[in-house]
Amino acid sequence: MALDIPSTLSALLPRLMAFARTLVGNPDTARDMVQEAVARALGARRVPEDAAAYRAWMFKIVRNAALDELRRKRIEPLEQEPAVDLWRFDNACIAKITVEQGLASIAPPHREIIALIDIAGFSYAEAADVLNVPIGTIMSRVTRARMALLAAIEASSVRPMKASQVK
Amino acid sequence: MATDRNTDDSIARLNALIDGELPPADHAALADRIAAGRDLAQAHATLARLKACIVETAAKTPVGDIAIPHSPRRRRLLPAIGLATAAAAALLALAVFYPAQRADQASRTEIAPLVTLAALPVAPVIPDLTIAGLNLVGGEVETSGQTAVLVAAYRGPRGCRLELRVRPAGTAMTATVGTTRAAWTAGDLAYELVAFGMPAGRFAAVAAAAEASSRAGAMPENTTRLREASLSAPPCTG
Repeated sequence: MALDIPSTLSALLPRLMAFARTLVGNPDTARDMVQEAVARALGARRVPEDAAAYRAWMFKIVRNAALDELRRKRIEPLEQEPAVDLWRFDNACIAKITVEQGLASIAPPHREIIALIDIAGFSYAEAADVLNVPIGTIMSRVTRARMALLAAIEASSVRPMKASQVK
Repeated sequence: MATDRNTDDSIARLNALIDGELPPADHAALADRIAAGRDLAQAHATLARLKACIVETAAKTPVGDIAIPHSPRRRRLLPAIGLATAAAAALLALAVFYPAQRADQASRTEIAPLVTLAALPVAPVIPDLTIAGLNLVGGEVETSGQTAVLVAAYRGPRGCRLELRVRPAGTAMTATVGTTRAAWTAGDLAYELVAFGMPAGRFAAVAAAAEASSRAGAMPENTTRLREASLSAPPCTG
């Protein structure tokens, strides 16, 4: 059965948007990128025929657009990353606001793998296909990215309010 | 446990467990180590909370006004027929070979409920759905008026999300956003399972297993259908 492209795209939009926003940070830029990706996808002469391949293809289009955007901005990855003691981490620091800020501050490659696995919901094998790397590389990248995110959260001066502090 | 601490391998395996990427045989071994080691349990909780928070943050990203113009496409019938045939052959091969291969592994893996909480009149059962590729990534007790509602969140690879909500039987239920829903009562508790874009066949198998688990206090012994439904289902779209 042929894929219903408009329905498939509609279903993918929330994750594509979250993925793009995580990669580039700015919601307006992310929206423009996704809109452009949708236009390119609809105009493509050859598209993947099954849903899983189509999904991966769409995320690749958005990813390439995001990489172009990051190159234009000349955002360089951090050379040295702060360390974090996972076994002593204060879980109370993990909240929506600190995660959002942490994601914005970590290096683009870390944001990318978190966006693929946690936000787009790809399996390691699917992410490996999107990034054209072995699955083992995905495992190590996931680990480094989450450790970097925890380090960013720990280093931030922002602390989530406790429920009793919220009126 | 010293060997568990700050080693990339331990952290990578914890991450794989949380992402539903750990092979079943390793899963049981790591679960035992987490149960036995406070440090490892703390690290597991931290990573699980981080992932759940990332997922929650992303879920609130507004789509905005992105438009999908209608663009009719010529259907290429022959390739579609070829793909359908290939898919049917692959499914048939799975149906014939996979259950036999996996049944032995399943018989060696004891499946037990992961969490019980005392916030409700009786302890609810939160089923272990890892066999369906769904990992428990978070749980909290919400209050709706005077009623305690336990909300457990599951995540799987390929974008699958599931929520289990448990409340005292007979209490009013607030509407839950989701694309597929199953509800049942077991003893003094009402259970509601909500999925987001999960294929119907897979959801039906998961819901049946969850319901059986909530009634019996453990996953049903025959989980072949559940595994097959999870393996053969297309990605979730929620």
